[in-house]
Amino acid sequence: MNEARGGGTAGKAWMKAFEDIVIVAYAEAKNEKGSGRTAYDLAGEVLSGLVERSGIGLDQIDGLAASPTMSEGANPFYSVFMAELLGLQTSWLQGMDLGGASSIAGLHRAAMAIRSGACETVALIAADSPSTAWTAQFDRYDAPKVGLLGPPGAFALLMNRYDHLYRLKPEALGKLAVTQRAGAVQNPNAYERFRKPLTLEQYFQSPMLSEPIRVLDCVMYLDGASGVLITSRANAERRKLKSVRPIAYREVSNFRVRDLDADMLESGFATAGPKALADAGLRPDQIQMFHPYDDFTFAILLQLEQIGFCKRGEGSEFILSTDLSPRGRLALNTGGGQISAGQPGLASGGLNLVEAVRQLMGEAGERQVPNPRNAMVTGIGSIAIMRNWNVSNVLILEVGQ
Amino acid sequence: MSDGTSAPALAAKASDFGRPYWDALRAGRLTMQACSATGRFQHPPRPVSFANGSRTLDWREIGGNGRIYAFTINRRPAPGFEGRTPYIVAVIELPERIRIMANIEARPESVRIGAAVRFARKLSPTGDPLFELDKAVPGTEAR
Repeated sequence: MNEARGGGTAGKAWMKAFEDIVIVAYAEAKNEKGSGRTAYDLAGEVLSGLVERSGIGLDQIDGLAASPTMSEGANPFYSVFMAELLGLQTSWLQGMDLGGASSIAGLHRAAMAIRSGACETVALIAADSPSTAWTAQFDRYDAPKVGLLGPPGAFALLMNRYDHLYRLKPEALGKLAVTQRAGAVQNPNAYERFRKPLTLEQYFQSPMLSEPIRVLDCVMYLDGASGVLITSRANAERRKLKSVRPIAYREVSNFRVRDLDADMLESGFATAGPKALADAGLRPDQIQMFHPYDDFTFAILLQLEQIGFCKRGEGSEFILSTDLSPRGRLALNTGGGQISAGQPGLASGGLNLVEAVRQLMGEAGERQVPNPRNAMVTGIGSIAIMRNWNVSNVLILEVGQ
Repeated sequence: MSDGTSAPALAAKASDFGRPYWDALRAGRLTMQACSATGRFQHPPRPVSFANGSRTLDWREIGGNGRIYAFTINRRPAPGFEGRTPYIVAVIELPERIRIMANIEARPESVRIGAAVRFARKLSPTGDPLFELDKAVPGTEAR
């Protein structure tokens, strides 16, 4: 670890969690609408993929981190039941509840658990089937019922405020939708209905939901799952497995929560992003691939600004002037992201993570980024009242063995 | 769409610590939680003071005059808002350095960020306070 890297003592502590930790396998189920499947069955498909790809058997997976679900959300024993159904005896078991931020947060927790000696190999699984079943209940106490159309309405408020301050160019959001759709066309795991190209004209014809947000700025809830297998570098080397290394991670929940008149646009990415980059010793222009959590197109724009790819208010221009294709300067959500591959409920964040891992292993087929070196993956969890999201987290990965 | 499968209740789910807010509203008064020690307001209600972490909180009636901080116009109704489109949902900043989210009783074309609004002294069908444009105040732009 050279001194040029790392944001001081705190940075070193954050990075220590990842020392000698690697990802050795990924797996993903295809996104489907109303699949009729349970999250457990989807998790089974993912686990079986992880075992097959790594050669690491059930008896050697001693840790499990499970993302939360909408479909099984009412069950407080979800992660225990999952381990039982998947045949995993664990010495470390973690149910996550950071919404879409759970996958990369789970990776960080898993790394800490492995480093502490609690376990050696963790299956990090995100599975959900909200278009088949919904048992979760997360209505906030005292939240006004003013007919806001859920998360799209909350994002419409953010976009309206942003437009007032800086001018939001809808053609920039349209470019994000068009670019990511091209990724979905090349991604066999994307929702089949989305696997046809989109034009900017079609984007502009998309109906307004809650001004100024359009249907094509939003995700569609589907059933799906993904996961990765995390272990020690020594174990990966012993088994001669291909690997991806996490090198930096930062997380902020409830950014400026007590500051009730704070800028509603400013999110935890404003600190998590720059700190993760400093920890990794990278400038934003050295990030090769960006796999941001994309529940809405506008979330990508805000992240580009707050993480530091461009200045506040310059997001539209940055998007319009940057090649975001797999061969471009900053490859963006190459598999279509959630907007174009579909959002597998609260398994959402796993989709962005698994695509980054697949790219870094050089297995992304026709959408492969040439000479993959590094990738940034982000997570967003829950939408706060009159603010932006509750959880912002940032992960940087690089090619391992 | 994301929340289509769980139909929210039409009225807010009142908490124990927030109940005085809803009780006062039903009596026609707009009150806000404030820290007894520092006088700092907070909204929505919380179980502790954000100023000092204590539980010493009380309730103070406020004037209900504010400015639009952000808004959206819904052309599709949320559950319970059928037949009311288009309608305005706004985040309003109040002089107490807090914000409130409410519907504004106004024509969609007439709202903009910075416009002065006031508590209309009536409630929406969901039991939330309704706001209206405050024509007495010249609508200077607020950032």
